[in-house]
Order: sequence, then structure tokens, then C-alpha cells
Amino acid sequence: MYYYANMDRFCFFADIFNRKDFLMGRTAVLSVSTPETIFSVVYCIGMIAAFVIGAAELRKKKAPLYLRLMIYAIGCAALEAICTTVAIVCSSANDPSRTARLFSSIAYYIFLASANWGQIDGLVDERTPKTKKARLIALIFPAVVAVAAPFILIPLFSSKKIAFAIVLMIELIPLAIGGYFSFKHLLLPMDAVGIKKMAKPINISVIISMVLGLLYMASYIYIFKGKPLFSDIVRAAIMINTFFMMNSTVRGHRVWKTLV
Amino acid sequence: MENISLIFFISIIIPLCVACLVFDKRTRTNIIFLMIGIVACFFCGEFDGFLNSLLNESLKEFSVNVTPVVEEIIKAYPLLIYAFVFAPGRQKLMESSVIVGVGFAIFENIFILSQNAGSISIGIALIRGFGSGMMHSISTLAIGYGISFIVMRRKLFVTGSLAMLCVAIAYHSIYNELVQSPYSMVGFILPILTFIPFYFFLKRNEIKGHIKYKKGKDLIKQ
Repeated sequence: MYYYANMDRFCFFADIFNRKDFLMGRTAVLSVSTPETIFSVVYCIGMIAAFVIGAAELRKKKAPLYLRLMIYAIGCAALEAICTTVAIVCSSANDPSRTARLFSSIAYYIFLASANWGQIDGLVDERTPKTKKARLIALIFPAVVAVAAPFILIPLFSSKKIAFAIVLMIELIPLAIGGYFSFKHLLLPMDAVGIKKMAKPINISVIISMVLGLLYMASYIYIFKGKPLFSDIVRAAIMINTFFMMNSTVRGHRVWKTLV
Repeated sequence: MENISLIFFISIIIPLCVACLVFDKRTRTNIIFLMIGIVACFFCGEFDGFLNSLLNESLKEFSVNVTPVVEEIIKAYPLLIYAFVFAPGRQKLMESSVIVGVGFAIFENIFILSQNAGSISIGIALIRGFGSGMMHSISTLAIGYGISFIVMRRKLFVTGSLAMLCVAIAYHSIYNELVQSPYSMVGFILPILTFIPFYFFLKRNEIKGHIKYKKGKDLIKQ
């Protein structure tokens, strides 16, 4: 009954397909869709496009694992966009308490952290006293996350979104780790081989995505209050940054091939 | 009336147990994984019922937020043990993960279709077979792919497994959300649409994996 009560919201898509019987054989009545629904669909398509363009690069033989992990991360970001859009379209409201989107975000940050720690860190950080300064300064990023976490989590806990807030808390861990390594690689002095130079735009985009991720988490508080505008602005920025990340990763891969 | 899921479970699992005594090692392993999938589904059904009574959420909220997490973790658990204890090859691990998913889907379909015995048809059976059946296989395959990093690169094993588990949970949740919405058909088609690129991706990696594995074996022999 709940779904049929919200049927008019879904009729937007029925009109797109120009088929009145598109929804389970029922006569659809056209209703004006909210801008948020349209934005979510655009956001979803944009993120999928970024992933598909990046994944096309994986078709080539001997794609390095770093590139693969970065593209998988972008795929997880696209999955998050799909989760959000499906929740908005199917549940007639931007209900952020869908934990699925958080799980895809966790996967996104894990892949980013894994790419920067597992693949690049051993190559660029020689663990000498020369790089110690960069290692210490980079701790600023996890410190910022630690400071921001209570401001994000306490309002969620106090509004009884406990399960959601706990999953969000888990999400902060790979975010902090990934941000630390990207920030560190950005601070390290340039090497002779050119890996750091190649990875510089990627690291910048990763740090931006981490900061935007924090802002996105903060925007959940506003969504719960019924104010999705801030979240939409952040999502637009995430989409642009994802394209930048995909572009810099693919370019970096091409530069890397010429270096090796 | 007795617990219907328990009755189905017993009637399916006993013939499979008997069959295990007859088959050779490779087939037996596959049947054991099929049984593990069925056991996982039975356990999930009981555990979900228990959790639902505790959380007091609506059925839709529960199936979108909680069920995918429980089911994917329970399905991943035997695969993790298999990877650690028996250290199988990458190809074998992937096969086993698919079989666990298939076993899970078989039991789930039997249970759900029998619950709606009055209203089912061949069409619904096809939809459930292609939709739910493939969804479980794909999500377990994704977890198996993550765990298979233990064979390739141990450093990436933990991160790969965790990330792919999260991906499987998100994918499962999207499916559950779609099939309970007016776009249920999109939900049922989704696993088929996902399976096609995933199949080609695995096919490509599988060949590479075999070559690497054989080369490794040769090197050890030398």
C-alpha cells in the first residue's frame, strides 16, 4: 500500500518512456518531479560515465594494480550514487538512513587507501629521516578528521540514528588512512624517477574527495532536517572531482608507461 | 505446523550429504559448497527473523538495511575459512564462491515460492531464478574475488576483501530496494545486466590467472 500511495512520484519516469502503462500496468498520472530527483539522476549518470570512461582504460593489457584500484574506487563512488538515486526514486524521499550508500562509500575509501598505501607508498617513501618531516606533517589530515568526527556524529547519535552513525564512524577510518597517505605523498620531495610528479594530481584529487566526503557526511545532518540543498551542492562537487580523479589517473597511467 | 524452512532444509540437505559419499574429490567439494550455501540461507532466515523482532523495523526497511549486511557476511564467512585453511587456487576460490551463492539462492527461492504457493507461476519462477538467483551468485562472486587477493597479493587481501564485501552489501541492498518498488522489473533485470560485463571481466582475468599459476608451479618444480 505504501508504494502505491507514492505512485505519482514515479510517474516522472513513466513519462520519460512515454508509456502510460510502464508501471506495473497501472495508468500513470503525470506529476512534476522535484529538482532533487532530477539532480540525483544526473549525478548518478555522471558518476557511472566517469567509471565507464575509466574502466575502458582497464581493457588494455597489463593495467597496473594502482590504476585498477583507483578505477574500482571510482566504481564504488558510482555505486554510492546509484544507491542514493534508487533510494530517492523508489522511496519518494532522500532518506539518508539507507546504510547501503555508506557501505559503498566505505569500499570507495578502502580502495583509495589501498591504492595509496599498498601500491605507491613503498615506492615513494624510503623511510629515511629526510621523509620523516612529511610523515609527521601529514598527520594533520587524520587529526582534522578526528576533530570533525564529533561534530558530525553527535547530532546523528542524538537524533537516534544510531546504526547509521555507527556505520558512518567506520567509514571515517579508511577516509583518514587514505587521506594521510595521499597528503604524505604530496609533501614528499620529488624523486628522480618521476612517480611523485605523476601521482601529484591524483593525490590532490584524492584529498579533495576526502574533504568532500567529510562535508557529505556533515550534510546528512541537514538531510535529516529536510534541507537537502547543501548535500546536492557537495554531490555536484564530488561528481566534478570524480571526473578530475579519473582523468588524472588515466593520464598518470600513460605517463607512467613512458617512464617505465 | 512444524518450522517449514527446517523441513525443506532437512529434505534437501540429506540427499546431498549422501551424494557426497559417492563423488570424487572435486565434485564433492562443489557439493559441500552448495550445502554450505543452503545452510547459510537457512541460518540467515532464522537470524533475520530474530533480528527483525528485535529492531521493529518495517519489512522493507529491514530488507534494505539489515538483511544484505547479515546475508553477505554469513556467505563470506565459509569462503574466508576456505581461503585461509585450504589455500585453494584463485580459480577454485571463485568457483566455490559462485556455488555458495547458488546454494543460497536455491534454498531462498524454494522457501519464498512455497510461501506464496497460491499465486506463483512459471513466469515468477523465471523472474526469481534469474533475478534473485543471479544476484546472490554475483554478490558472492564479488566477495570471492576480493578474497582471491590472498593468492595474488597478500598485502591487498584485507582491504580487497573488506571493500568487495561492502560492494556486495550495497549491490544486494540496491536489488532489495528495487524489487520492492514499482520498478521491480528493473530490479529483476539488474543481475542479468551486471552479470554480462562481470562475466567478461572474469573470463579475461581467469585466463591470466591460469597462466601465472602454471608458471609459478613450473618455477617451483625447477
